[in-house]
Amino acid sequence: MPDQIQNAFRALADPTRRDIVQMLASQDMTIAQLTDCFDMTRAAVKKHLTVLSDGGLILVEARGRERINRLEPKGMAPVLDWLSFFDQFWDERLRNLKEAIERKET
Amino acid sequence: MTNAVLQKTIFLRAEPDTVWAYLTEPERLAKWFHKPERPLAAGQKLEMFGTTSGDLLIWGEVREARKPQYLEYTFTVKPMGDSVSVVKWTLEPVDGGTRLSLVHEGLPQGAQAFGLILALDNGWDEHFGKMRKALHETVDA
Repeated sequence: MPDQIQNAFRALADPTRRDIVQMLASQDMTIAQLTDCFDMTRAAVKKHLTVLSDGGLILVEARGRERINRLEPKGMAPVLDWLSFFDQFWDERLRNLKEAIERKET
Repeated sequence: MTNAVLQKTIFLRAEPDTVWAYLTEPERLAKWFHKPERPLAAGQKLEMFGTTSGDLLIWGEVREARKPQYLEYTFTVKPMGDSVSVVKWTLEPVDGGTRLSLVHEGLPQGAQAFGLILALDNGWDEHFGKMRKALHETVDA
């Protein structure tokens, strides 16, 4: 599996980052604006944004003195797809099944 | 409506009867999937609830259950809306265990999986954590 998709799913594994993505889905936002929405420091928000950016899910764009975060539709494409979602979903479930069954039976 | 089909096959070091139990019994399903309220059997509704929210997350109906060979159920996840997909499990005895095949068909095409990810409740965060871990640890052959 390409690293990019792994990074995208990893980025979305965290509930705060999913919240951020959901907010950015409705509008572009600066770190300051995002920080206002969460009970955490600017540094913590920035860290989440870095993970999202590594996952190819957002783009950071300098606009004057501000840095605007916005969703990157191209990065979202693989996680938008049911097939790739369930591909990973079942791989993981089957791995759990194998582990559970063979721990018990051997 | 769609030809999207997923197929997976794994080999398990366990008899088909044991594998069957893991596919149908609540206590066993809880170990690797989601815990239904009652065992899966033909004609039964399939209902799996979020571990923390208690919301109904996955539902469907068991269409066929031939122990210990074949299990088929419809499968809808909350954000899939009205789409109904079908999950088919085939168990074949082989030397030393069971060959388990999964076919998941009728997946809607297009762009709503993201809604699924956003709609996941806390019970699924753990799944994602595991998924992430597994993705890290395994280099797919």
